[in-house]
Amino acid sequence: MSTPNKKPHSSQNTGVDLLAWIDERFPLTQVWNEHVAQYYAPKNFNFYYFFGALALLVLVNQLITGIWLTMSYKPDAAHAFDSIEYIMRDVDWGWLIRYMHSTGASAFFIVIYFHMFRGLMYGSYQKPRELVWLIGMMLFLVLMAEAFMGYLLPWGQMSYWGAQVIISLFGAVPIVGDQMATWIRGDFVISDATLNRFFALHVIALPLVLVVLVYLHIVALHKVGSNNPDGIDIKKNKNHLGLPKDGIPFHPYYSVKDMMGAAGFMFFFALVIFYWPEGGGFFLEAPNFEPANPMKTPEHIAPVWYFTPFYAILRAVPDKLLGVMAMGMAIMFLFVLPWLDRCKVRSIRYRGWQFKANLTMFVVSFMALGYLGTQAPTAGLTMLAQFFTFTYFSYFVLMWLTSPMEKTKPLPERVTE
Amino acid sequence: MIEPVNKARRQFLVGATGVVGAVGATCVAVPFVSSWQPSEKAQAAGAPVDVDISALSVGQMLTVEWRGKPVWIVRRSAESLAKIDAQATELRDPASEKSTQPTFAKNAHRSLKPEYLVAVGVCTHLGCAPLYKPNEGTVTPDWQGGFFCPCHGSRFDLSGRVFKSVPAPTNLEVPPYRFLSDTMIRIGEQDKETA
Amino acid sequence: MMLGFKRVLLLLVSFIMAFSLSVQASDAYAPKLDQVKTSVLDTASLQRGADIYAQYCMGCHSLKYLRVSRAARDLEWTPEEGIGHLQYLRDGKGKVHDAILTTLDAQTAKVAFGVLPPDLSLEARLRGTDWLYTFLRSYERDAQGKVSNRLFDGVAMPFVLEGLQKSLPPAAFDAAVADLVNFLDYAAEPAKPIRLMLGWWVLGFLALLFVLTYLLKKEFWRDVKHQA
Repeated sequence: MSTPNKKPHSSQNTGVDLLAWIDERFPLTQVWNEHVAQYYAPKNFNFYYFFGALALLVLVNQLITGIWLTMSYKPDAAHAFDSIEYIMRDVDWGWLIRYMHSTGASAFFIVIYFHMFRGLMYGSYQKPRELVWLIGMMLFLVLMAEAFMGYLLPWGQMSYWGAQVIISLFGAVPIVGDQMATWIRGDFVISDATLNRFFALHVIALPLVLVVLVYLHIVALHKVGSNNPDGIDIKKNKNHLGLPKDGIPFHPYYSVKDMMGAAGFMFFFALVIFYWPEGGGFFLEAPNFEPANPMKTPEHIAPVWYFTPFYAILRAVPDKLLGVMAMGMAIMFLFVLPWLDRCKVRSIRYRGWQFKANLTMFVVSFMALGYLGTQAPTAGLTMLAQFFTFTYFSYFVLMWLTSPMEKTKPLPERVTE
Repeated sequence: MIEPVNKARRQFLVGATGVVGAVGATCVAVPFVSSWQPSEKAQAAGAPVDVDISALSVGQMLTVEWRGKPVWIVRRSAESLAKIDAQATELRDPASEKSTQPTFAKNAHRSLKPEYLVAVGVCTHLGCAPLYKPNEGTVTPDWQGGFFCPCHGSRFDLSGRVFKSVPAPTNLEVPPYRFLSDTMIRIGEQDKETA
Repeated sequence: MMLGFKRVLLLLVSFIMAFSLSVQASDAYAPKLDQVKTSVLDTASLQRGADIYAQYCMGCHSLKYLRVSRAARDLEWTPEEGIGHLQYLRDGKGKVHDAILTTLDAQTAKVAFGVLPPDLSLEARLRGTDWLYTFLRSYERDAQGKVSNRLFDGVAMPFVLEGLQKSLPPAAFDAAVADLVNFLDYAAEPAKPIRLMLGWWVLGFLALLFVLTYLLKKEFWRDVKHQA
């Protein structure tokens, strides 16, 4: 390795010289400092602030296990199901890699839902973090597409019929709907062509988009700085060095804290992988242990648990087109949340009772819809689903209406413990 | 009142976490590395092959597939066996010191029974399939019979031993095998006592 | 005020949980299943189950994803014993690396039963062990000699275990069926024994890692606590 200074040097200096050599050509130290060693984050992060780093950890898990699965998986309707069993039985440790991936999918959504809830609770979507929120919502949308396409790949009964139902939703679009559904499938039913294109999207296209969006999400966050449970701006209180008094460098303080979070998370992750891989039939659904059969629909089709809140909204609306629109709106409303919330106070800690009641009802509606989406629809349950669909949407409307007139508490000067 | 940082304790914890973390990372790598090993399916396809050699006459060669590779069984004549070491000085590894074979084949005839040569028909140079050239003088003027690789001109004698000054580095590989009877060979398995 | 919010949330979540459980409990369509307790770590039980499978099921039902070699290894049989126990129907033509197949051809099966007897490789994961246990113990023959199954109306499979059921006291028959179900559970996921055994080591290691990272975090965060 050539170094800019030609004078002889000891081995201890080699590392320093190498770094200098790189820094002249690539902003390594600068990037490290800006985003890690001298990125000042509020010191009062609580439990909910683990989930961003955990989402990154799960993403890496999904990428690596996913790459390894493609080494033995066959995206061919005639071989896909067999190849999964081949991985589970014949490939050395294939079962572990596959369970890491299938459990990782559910873990991803658990982590992301906590991460989003944190944002709702502490107003992390508010000015100036609108773009962080928007990019995050795009990530959520792409993640849903990624999960949906991945779920077809095992080519079991649930894979097949779940995809059948969801793709048929496009048929609700007026005039071009049926043609669109056919175009997405590449056939008149879900078939080998569908499987093959979903495979391509699942393993290459969408992961690429995810990685790019994650990068943008972090760049946007680091431009404006992290929010915190008090929702106050730590940049307003700076010391004589110009550093926020309530901020601490991400490294080493949050790097060690996130390591702890990662270890704790991995414990529960391993617990599921080794002792509960089916997740009570929610992570791996029983009908998916039967190969796809286009002639026979399973008695009860439910999407994987992370889609069920939106699925319940779809079913709650008695009209096909309106149902699809309601489902789409359920996600789209989240995108515009930064402009629906007109309150100047971010954190739930200092907001009025309207916000607290509203958010509580939203969380309850989301969970209730999630549960209802897993159940076979009966008249009573459908009515419940309609009720919770109403309360789900009322969150956004009430946010718009009540946020300007909330009686908020005074904000503290400095962050609280 | 700021108490001083206990540097020793901090360094110990950093070191301990680092070591345990590294052990963990290594353990995680194990499944991913071993998943590249031949799967049970590949091993099933590589199971031993039984070959009937009753119809093999002197001087003839039989090719069978084992683990996707050609395996030759050559029945050598008494005359060719008698002069098998005639060109020993021209061989690169006449005693099979640097070549791959079961211990029972580490001899001049490189086989269990001198009459039958069992060898993997893959050139040790770059994996081409050498040709069986039993007749004298067919490859070089002093050719005593053997194998000739058309890709890069490697030559082997009738025991599959490589000549000097050709690209192939070692003798042809001899797979594990055993005789089930006088006319049946099982390739891919060998008797424990001869191992 | 944070606590208040959390308490309300907790209350609502538990309300939903209780509500869902009550709905599930009142699900009239779900048949009552007998619970069975089996363990794939009980090799003796797996061996007994495999033999029952070979004797009563293998004639019609294959285990196409389970190799004899794999089953023999996990059930602590030599490959030869594995062939003897699980491939004796194939007249010595079966190889140790082959799957556990049936000798029944599809045409004959269609004529005899009207349907193709399904492959049972994944049956235990598809139906659950409780279902299999209940199903196999729900056969009965009425006075006219007509066979029916209390769990599966119009079942195509005959009363295969009738002989076994008649020859054993009820408790012993239940135990035999449990062994069979245990073997099918193993067949549905041959990695299950290793998964169950390895898990404790992984969890123990991660617990250690957590303790270390916790101490490390605490040590570094002393700086933050002391910061004004």
